[in-house]
Amino acid sequence: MKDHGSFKIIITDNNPIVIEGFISLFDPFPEKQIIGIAHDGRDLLTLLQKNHGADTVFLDLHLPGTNIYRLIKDLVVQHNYLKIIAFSSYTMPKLVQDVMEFGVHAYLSKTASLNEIVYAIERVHKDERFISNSVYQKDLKSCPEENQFSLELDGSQLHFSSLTEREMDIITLLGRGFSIRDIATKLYMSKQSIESHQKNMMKKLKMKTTHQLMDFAEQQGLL
Amino acid sequence: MTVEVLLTGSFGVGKSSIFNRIMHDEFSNKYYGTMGVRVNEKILAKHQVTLKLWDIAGEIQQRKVPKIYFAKKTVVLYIVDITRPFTFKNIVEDLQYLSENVGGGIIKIIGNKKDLLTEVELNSVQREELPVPLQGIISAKTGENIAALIDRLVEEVLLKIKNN
Ligand SMILES: Nc1nc2c(ncn2[C@@H]2O[C@H](COP(=O)(O)OP(=O)(O)OP(=O)(O)O)[C@@H](O)[C@H]2O)c(=O)[nH]1
Ligand SMILES: [Mg+2]
Repeated sequence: MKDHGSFKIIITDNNPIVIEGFISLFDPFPEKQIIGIAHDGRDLLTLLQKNHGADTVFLDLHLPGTNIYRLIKDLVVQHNYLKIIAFSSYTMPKLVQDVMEFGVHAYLSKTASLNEIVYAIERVHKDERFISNSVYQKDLKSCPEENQFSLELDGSQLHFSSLTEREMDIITLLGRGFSIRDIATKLYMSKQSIESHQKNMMKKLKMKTTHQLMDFAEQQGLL
Repeated sequence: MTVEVLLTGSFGVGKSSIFNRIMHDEFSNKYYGTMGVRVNEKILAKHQVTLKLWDIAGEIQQRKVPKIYFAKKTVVLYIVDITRPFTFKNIVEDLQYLSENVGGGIIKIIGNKKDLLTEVELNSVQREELPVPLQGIISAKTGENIAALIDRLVEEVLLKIKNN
């Protein structure tokens, strides 16, 4: 536990505006020092490997080229001294619950107030785990359509609600060229259930072909 | 005769590392989360049995493990990482769940990563943090206590068969 003293923070986000926001937010607090910026999962792991004594990470959940579940597992297993604060526009209860279950310490919505953000750091370092009010408030206010991950693809909006970890595994294996039968054997599931996962994903992602699914997986850095 | 052993527990506790240590006498500091399942066999000449080892993807709660993995297992090793209390926070309900779903097999709770704690730290984890006692404390990294654990398990299995 660390209740006073200084905090060394890494911001992991791909949006320059968010990063600027963090820098000016922490400017008046010399004891909360941003020691690194990472734009994706790989950046973050490289920074941590170099070890600048970071103790807190703000983590956007939708990072380019990053399977977020694998990244969180890596952080929790290999850098278990870190306090991880998810900082996301997405507040679907299933996503929040999954991420917290994986060992993330706090969950803030990007609509969180400045006070909330500053306070979050102190709370996680008191070994508290929590979900900020802004997550629930956003959930009440926003319509389900808004409450989904979205990414720009060739200027058009491609919607995808949160894929589960299992679905991400299936996409990854498909992308590596495994057949449905191979995947079924590897994951010890029936062919039918792999196929139904695949159908579900395509429906969620509003896609018609496996090919589109693969393009998407590649874009997400899952392959 | 084949003794089928399943390694289960939360992610990152060291199941694949234990698997690699037993099967190939190897260890790596890298972490590649397992997808699906790996199976391998090894003949234990001393006991004249085949050890069939199953390594699966870690789950935070055992009820998320596909039930089919528990079928026909002689032994289920529930592995925890003694340096991360997170990996044993569900231990009581997990053990309950395992006892209902592992038909007749022996279930053991094993602490891994012994090399990372001093004797004093280890005692304090066992006394203050673990709600149930560990039945073995090993290190996949150094190999400490692993061969002895396998020996002990096989003997227990053989004795159980003899008594039935
Ligand atoms: N110091 C130390 N590290 C270990 C030990 N066993 C495993 N590790 C490390 O812990 C991390 C996770 O090990 P894995 O064997 O991949 O864990 P796992 O339980 O198979 O994880 P999943 O496949 O995700 O369920 C790796 O970085 C290993 O090097 C050990 O006995 N001592
Ligand atoms: Mg593994």
